[in-house]
Amino acid sequence: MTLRRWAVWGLGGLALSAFVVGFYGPILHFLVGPNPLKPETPALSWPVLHEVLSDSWILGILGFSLFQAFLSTVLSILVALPGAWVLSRYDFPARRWFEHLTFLPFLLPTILVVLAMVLFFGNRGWLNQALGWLGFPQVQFLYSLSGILIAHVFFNVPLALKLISAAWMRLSGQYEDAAQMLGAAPWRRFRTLLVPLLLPSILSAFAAIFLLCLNSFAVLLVLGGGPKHTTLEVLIYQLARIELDLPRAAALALLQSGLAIVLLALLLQLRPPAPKQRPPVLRRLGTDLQGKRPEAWFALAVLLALTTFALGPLLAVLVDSVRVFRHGQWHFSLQAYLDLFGLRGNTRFLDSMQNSFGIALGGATLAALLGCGTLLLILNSSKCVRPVLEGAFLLPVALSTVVFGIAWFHLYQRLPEGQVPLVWVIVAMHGLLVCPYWLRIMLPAAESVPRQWLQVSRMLGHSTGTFLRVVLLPWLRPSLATAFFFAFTLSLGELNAILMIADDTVQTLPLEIYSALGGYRFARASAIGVVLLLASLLLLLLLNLGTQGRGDRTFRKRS
Amino acid sequence: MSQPKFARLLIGAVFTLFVTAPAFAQAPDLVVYTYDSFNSEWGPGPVVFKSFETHCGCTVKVVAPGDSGSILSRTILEKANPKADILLGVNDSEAYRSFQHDLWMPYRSPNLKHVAPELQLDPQHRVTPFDHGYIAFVYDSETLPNPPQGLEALTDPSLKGKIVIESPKTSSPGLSFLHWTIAAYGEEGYLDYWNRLKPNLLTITDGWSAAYGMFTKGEVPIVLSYVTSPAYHLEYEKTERYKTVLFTEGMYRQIEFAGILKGAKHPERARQFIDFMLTAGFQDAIPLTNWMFPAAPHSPLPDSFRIVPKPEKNLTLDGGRIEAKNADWLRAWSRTMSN
Repeated sequence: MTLRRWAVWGLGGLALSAFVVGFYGPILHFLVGPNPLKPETPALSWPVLHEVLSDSWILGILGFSLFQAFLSTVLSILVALPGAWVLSRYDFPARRWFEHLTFLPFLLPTILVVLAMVLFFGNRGWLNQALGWLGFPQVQFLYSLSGILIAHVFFNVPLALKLISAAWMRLSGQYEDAAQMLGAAPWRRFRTLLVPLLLPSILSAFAAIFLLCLNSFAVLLVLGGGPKHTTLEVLIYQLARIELDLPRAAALALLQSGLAIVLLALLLQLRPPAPKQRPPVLRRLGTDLQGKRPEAWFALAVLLALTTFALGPLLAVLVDSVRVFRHGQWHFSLQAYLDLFGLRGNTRFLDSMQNSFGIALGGATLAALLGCGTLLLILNSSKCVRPVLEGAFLLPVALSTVVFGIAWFHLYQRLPEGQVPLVWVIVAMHGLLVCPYWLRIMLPAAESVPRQWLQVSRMLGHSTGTFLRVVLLPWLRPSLATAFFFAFTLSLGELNAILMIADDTVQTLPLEIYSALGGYRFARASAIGVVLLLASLLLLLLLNLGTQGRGDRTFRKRS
Repeated sequence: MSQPKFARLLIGAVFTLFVTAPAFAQAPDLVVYTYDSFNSEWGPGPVVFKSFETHCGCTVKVVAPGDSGSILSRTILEKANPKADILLGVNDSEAYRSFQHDLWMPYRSPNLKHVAPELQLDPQHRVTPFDHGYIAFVYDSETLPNPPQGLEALTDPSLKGKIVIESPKTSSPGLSFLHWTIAAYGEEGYLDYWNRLKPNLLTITDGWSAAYGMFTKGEVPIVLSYVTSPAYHLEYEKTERYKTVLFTEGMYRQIEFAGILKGAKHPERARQFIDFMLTAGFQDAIPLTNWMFPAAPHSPLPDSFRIVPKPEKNLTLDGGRIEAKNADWLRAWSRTMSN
């Protein structure tokens, strides 16, 4: 037990102090202190808060922000459910690739994804051209609420898929068998049995996706068709970054994130007692297809639909990177890639790539370290402390990163320059910002560890270390890999926080993409995006090699 | 690969990346803040900063994250503890923000004699102009043979859903366009104009890149950009397909400025830089790298600029009025557009 206590206090304490020093400290310092730009007035005052709360236009925007995030989240989960069913039931070639490939959109700066969506779903996009070809009328998918929803579903289905299928796979089959024997119809079994059993993972996915959608910015503006679908995040950005009206930005950010956190912390407590678990048993999709089982064909259709939906817009980025516009026509060309890889002896791109990957790997590692601490604290907390802790560890992602960036900047800009390499500061910021997502992925997995295992292992005379190594790690390994990779992708794509403090030593790929776009170099921006994707896939390959450990293989063999 | 081996590999990789991350260079003699595309590989930055380094025999550190609005905000927030000597790339639509926060150390460069008087907007010489251009609607002549000839013509019902612009709340051409409509229709009429324009706007983007990307991908035939955009396509893509029109109401000018920040650590070098900025070594690079007109022309414009029409009639808004009213205009605009 001592090792465990050490772990809880050591890692938990580390995580708590990191959150205090890195997040709550700067935020509180900023909120209770004077306005950095007008020291004679406070940063957050009741009159401003009152004014914001009594402005019906702002309340309307707040309502729409929550509404679109809710709708996007529910839709993402609904679309993900059939896919999660396939993943919980079937093994098929390239299964792990399918699971991870769908994370790729998070790697790209949103603006590239937005332009890819326009190429794919736009009024003159590929989908509409295909429809026209088949003789159907044109459909306007984008530039309204539906555009926002399509983009958010595109971004977030993978996360929902991953979280829900992981839980589904581990569910013991005996509940389902018992219900079937009692004569419950499939729909009833789904509704009254499966959904409640899957609820912890669904809620965890809900929380993460809801916050991602609440903070989305470029998607909303461009694909939502302009200011008629504006959200609070857009308003906060404008107030904090452009007008520097910090009191109003702080009031709005606090209002939005406070509301979101209270809602989510309450929601996350709606969990049933942990059901019985089992190691995953998967059927072979190929065998079932040959056996002409109808549900296998349905599974295949779901896989194809999800793959098309997830890869279509990414393909648009690829196509955009290998073409040039010359003499009024599009031509195939690899010029953008030739330019990137320094035929002119320029290493700037390679430096940025090194910076980006270093920061993202460091950020994800830090997130995992802090995540372990938060996980241990939450699992060892009492029933009333738990919602507070869960809320406290979610807040960094609920709060607008623009405001976080300003608060950080305000507190730490007085540190003498050159004391700490800037790259470490950025790694620390990213680690804190992506840690909550790491936690959301790991929490359902950690909770699903059957309680009796520890006792059994103890009876067998194993030390805690052996238990960790032989039992716990193999069980958690797939989720750990997912969580790490997701933290990595989010950190690689993060831009807002870095904009406030970056200098020439931390030029990163997202910054390179923005500057390429700002100078008419659209093909180059897409090419950087493609390189970013390929390099991340390479990392994924490494990660897959590393996580296909013994435990994993024994599970598979039983199928 | 077993787990511990893999973990070691990963930790090794992270470590290597950091250890080899660029170390601190020696302290620079001049620190310049500018916007990202100014210092991109093809932007003016690599040319003009290099030639200044040769000229002064000193080292320059350039920091360029984000667009002009972001870097200006960052400079304002750093005011108490400035890290830069020069901020380069503030345009007249957003300059009021820098004046409100009293960022500058005034300096009147002797080389201002090369600059046309109408570009010298700041009588106190807190900021010095280095280039200028006009925001304009660029159109695809293949899909739109008869482009609109004025602001009013943009509201024609035949253009429903065919225009993309940038938001005045988050983008500098977007803000200049809002100012353009106020200059043309007055404070009484501009919201009315926007109400008429609204159906024709397919969407309003956060920045120039998203809007222009949608335009070049063929999603819309008209986009809010700069009068010089067609010259880019002529120079690099050898096409005259993308064109622009001078609007009958008059065009709206954007002037870009640089200035010395109050509390600069290297004021002498900074003044030397401002002088240099108005010489041929800087000005000649502007047209083909920043796609603007040089403020102090020393050489004829490059050939691809033949496609750029030269505005005769200009609309302007008084800087003081922008400073006083901008927040109200934006608020009214937001509310009108979200209805």
